[in-house]
Amino acid sequence: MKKQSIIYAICWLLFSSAYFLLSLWLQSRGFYNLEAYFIEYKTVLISRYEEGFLRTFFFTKPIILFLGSLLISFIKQSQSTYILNAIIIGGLTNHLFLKGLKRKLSIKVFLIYVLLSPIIIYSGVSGGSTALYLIFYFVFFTLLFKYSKSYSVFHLTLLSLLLGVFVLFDLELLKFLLLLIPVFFFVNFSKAKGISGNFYYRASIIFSNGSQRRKFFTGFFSSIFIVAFIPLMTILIYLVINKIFAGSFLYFMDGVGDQWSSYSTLYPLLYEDNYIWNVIAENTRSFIIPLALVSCLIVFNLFDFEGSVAKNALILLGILYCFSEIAENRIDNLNLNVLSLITAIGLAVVFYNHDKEKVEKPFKIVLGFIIPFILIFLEVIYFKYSVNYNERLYYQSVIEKNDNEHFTSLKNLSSSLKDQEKGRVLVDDAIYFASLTDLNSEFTWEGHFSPNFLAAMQLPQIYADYIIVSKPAFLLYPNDVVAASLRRLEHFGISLDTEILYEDKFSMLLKVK
Amino acid sequence: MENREYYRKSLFQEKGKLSQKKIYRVEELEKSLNKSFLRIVLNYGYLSRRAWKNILLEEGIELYNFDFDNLVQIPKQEIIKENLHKFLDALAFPLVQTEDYLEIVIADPSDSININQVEGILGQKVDKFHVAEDMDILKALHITYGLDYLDKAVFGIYDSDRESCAIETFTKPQLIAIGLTLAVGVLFFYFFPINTAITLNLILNFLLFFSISFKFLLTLYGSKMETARKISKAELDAIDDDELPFYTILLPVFKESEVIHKLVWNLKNLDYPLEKLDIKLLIESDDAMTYNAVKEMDFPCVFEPLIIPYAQPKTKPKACNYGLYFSKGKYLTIYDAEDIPDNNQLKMVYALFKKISDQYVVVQCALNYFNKKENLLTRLFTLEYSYWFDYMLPGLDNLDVPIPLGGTSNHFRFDKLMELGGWDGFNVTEDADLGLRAYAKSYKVTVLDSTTLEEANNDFFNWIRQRSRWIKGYMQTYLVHMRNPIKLYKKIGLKGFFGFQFFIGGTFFTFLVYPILLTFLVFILFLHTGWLNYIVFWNDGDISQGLLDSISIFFPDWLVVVAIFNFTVGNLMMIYVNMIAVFRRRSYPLILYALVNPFYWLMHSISAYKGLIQLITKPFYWEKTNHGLTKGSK
Repeated sequence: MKKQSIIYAICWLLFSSAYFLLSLWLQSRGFYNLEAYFIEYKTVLISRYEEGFLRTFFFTKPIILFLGSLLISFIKQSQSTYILNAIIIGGLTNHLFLKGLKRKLSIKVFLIYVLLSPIIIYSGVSGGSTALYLIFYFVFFTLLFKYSKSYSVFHLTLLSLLLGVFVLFDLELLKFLLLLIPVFFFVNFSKAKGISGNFYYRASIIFSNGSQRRKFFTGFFSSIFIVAFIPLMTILIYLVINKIFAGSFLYFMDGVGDQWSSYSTLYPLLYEDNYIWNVIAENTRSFIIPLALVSCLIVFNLFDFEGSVAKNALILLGILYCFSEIAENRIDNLNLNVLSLITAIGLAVVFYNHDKEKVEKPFKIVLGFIIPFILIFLEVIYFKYSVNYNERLYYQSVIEKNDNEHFTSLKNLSSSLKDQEKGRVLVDDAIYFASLTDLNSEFTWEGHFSPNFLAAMQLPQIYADYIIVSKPAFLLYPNDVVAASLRRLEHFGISLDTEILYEDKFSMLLKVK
Repeated sequence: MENREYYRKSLFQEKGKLSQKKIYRVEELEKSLNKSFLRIVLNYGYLSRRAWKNILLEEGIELYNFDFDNLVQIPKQEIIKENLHKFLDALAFPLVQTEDYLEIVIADPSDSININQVEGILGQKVDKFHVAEDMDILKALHITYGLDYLDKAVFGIYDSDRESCAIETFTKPQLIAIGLTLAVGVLFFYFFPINTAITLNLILNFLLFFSISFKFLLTLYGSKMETARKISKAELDAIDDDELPFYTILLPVFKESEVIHKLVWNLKNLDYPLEKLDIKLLIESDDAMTYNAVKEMDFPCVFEPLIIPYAQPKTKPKACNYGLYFSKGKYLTIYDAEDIPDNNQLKMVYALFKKISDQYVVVQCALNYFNKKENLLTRLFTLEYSYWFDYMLPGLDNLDVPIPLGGTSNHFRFDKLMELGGWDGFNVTEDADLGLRAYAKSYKVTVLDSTTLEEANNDFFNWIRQRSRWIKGYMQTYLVHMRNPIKLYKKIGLKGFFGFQFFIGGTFFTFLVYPILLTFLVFILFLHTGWLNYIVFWNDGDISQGLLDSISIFFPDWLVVVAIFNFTVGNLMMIYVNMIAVFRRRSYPLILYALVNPFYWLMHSISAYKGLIQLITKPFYWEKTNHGLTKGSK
């Protein structure tokens, strides 16, 4: 037992290290993720201002990624989300790997896929929230498969707990409760005591008998209630805490903090990328192509029947869920945060413990060797043509060294500032957070969380030593409140004595004299 | 005095209406069980006690009435004490004995073997005999000659393992430690009032939260167990009745005449050969109500009454300990009089004992209630028991940490139970204590997914009495085992030690602390609402704010937030574990009642304070729970 635990821990460490080293290599080739910078910036902010701890702590989306990163923020060699992702996906790979080694040959060959899948590797190295999504989907569907067989309260409680925790990660995951409703409905037919026979026979007995019908429906609604209780209560606690901190139950939804966080992560990631607009503007069903590219694994599983109707029903449910999510909001959902659901279901099905391992036919073994390579190839194509900038950048960084103009500008701003004397910086930190993360702590900045932010924008000469401001070529120029305030001062004829320390196509660093 | 001769055929066959076949069967059992004819007839369901009494009266026998207060031991008392079991079996009480005269009281005048046996043991001829009811003879024998056993039953643990006996509530070092802690606390309050108040509050909040979280995790861990059954149906079916060993069932009762009839019915439903059951109904000698109810039973019963001589403390463990000396089963269990065990429970336990190692000495079965829908209290009680026995104890079992045994349905290996010294007669939750003592001696306790249905307390005050005893018992158990924490740690290991702290210590701690923190919190939230200003309408000032300003020195805003988080999450966790427990048992209509759990906790707190006061004033006092109050049935 002890030996097994040691092997497990060592393997986990090895996989995680591999992912981490790969992420460093990718970063050296120009890969970056503004979400990682954003989380890093939150970690910096947490102790910077009075009440910063409480405000940053609670109004950070996604909170789990932030909390996890916070725990390992003492490691300064890399941004903590990259390390966190490496640990999480290292754990998943290790779990699947060790589990797969004990299984039949056709499952063993899927380990090739686990090790080389671009989606799994991306989750482990990208420094964003995809890793957590993948983990959530995988655990959720594994538990669901188990529940559909055991009908145990244990699995039901774990499902509820999982949703309760991840609802803090992404409120939208509450939708998975809806996915559970048909599962509970059908499971309740099998749970009925004292009735044996096939599904149709059971159903006819249950619906024709008053007492059985009553038990069936109370059991069905109770299952929903039990599983929904923890997530709903998590939200309740979250609302109560909001009320206590900010005086309003819905502060986290309409408060400054949340606007700031959503605006910060979304704009630089999506809105600077024209490619996505083209795809959306087409208004065709072409968004199905990326879905199809990542769905090969579960389509294969769909036909690899193994006698489980429940398994196939759950696979179909997963595909339909994914399709509806993307169709509803292509801008936000046509990326691996949603599409990794398909990968996770596939993994959960392949590595889910089947009771009987059937004797395999040679054809199936040969097919088993080919399938993982096909899957990997299709996923590579997905990354090549992804509408998501970060996913494309991942592919490009593997192929060749990259240089992104906008990101270089952000880095140059930061390095120019570092060369200057320490002082106060007036900046719209919702836009320039990436530049601020690696500044020395002796620099302070007047940003959204600073109590003097408004005053600093009115009187920069008193409150600031430096100003970072965007230029019209920058897509976020209209959103830059510091740029707006400077225009306002100019409009009222108030001159500001400044010196340009750095300037490029997108931004300027000014020194206030 | 009787000089006539009586015949079995006349008494049992003609007047008692026992068929010849039955008489043969009884005679077979007489040989195989080595018990007297009358004992088998009366205790194995052949003839009711009232019917037997009527037969004797019809026969013109004048029944002997004992003067129990003035019974004296005969000169050959030592012989009787040595052979007490034989006299009990023969249902014969030596009334007067001199060198050349012996007068006895017997229950079956047709059984000359019994008289011969007495003569053989005492070495002199019986000159005169009286006839009395068997119960009276049993009582006379126990209260006159059972005192050595009684002494062992009361002081057994004290004599063999003084450190584990709850006879002393607080030891001197414990009193010094408590005193020192209080003194240091007062000093800190004097010199650093604000920081001390905040720290104390924070510690209490943290411990409360940790204790509840521990229970939640235990529940989760325990729920894993439901996915695997310990004994399969096939294993159960494979058991051959011939291989089954003797099984002792102890039934301690006190003033429970109402449930005796139900008891017989429930025992008859057990799927276990009756002749291999050794069922003892433990009746206190001063419990005239139960005693008379058994005497007057008008239908055959399947248990053997055992009269416990009077002694303080008048506790259930003392009665059970006394019963041990008259038990003969390989395994032994305890049921309450109103209990309805799963009919295959004994066989399941037997199969499990066969399957697991000898290290396991106790199997605890789940308890639940048959009258769960009677009122709100019984519903809440059912919720609590469901999670306790279905999830918490299996959780402890899975973690391999000490399991505090439940009140009944704990099945022992008899020899190991004797080795452990039985129960501590001075501990009011002797079962929980025994589980820990077993663990400390490197034995193990496990749980089994078989249920015994009990009667849920349906009366508020009765519930408080019962619960205060349980919580007092947990305090006693905690104090006993924490007399030497290092020794305890060495005995039960780190996991066991923490399990003990949070499961035994944490249980009463949370109930004691809960209302204090809640009162503070509610008061502060009340002040935040500003309603106090409306109540104190004659004052124009902002009284709420004034008070808040003063209190916030000791209870700053961040601490309020911590407390709110603590209470919300803590209560929700407890609500949830209650919900899933009844969900598992498919008692779906009870799920919503789990939302009332926070109020149920307040009831626990009331009991906890009552228990705490009793721990100091009357530590061994056994708060009697009245049974038989329910109108419900299974």
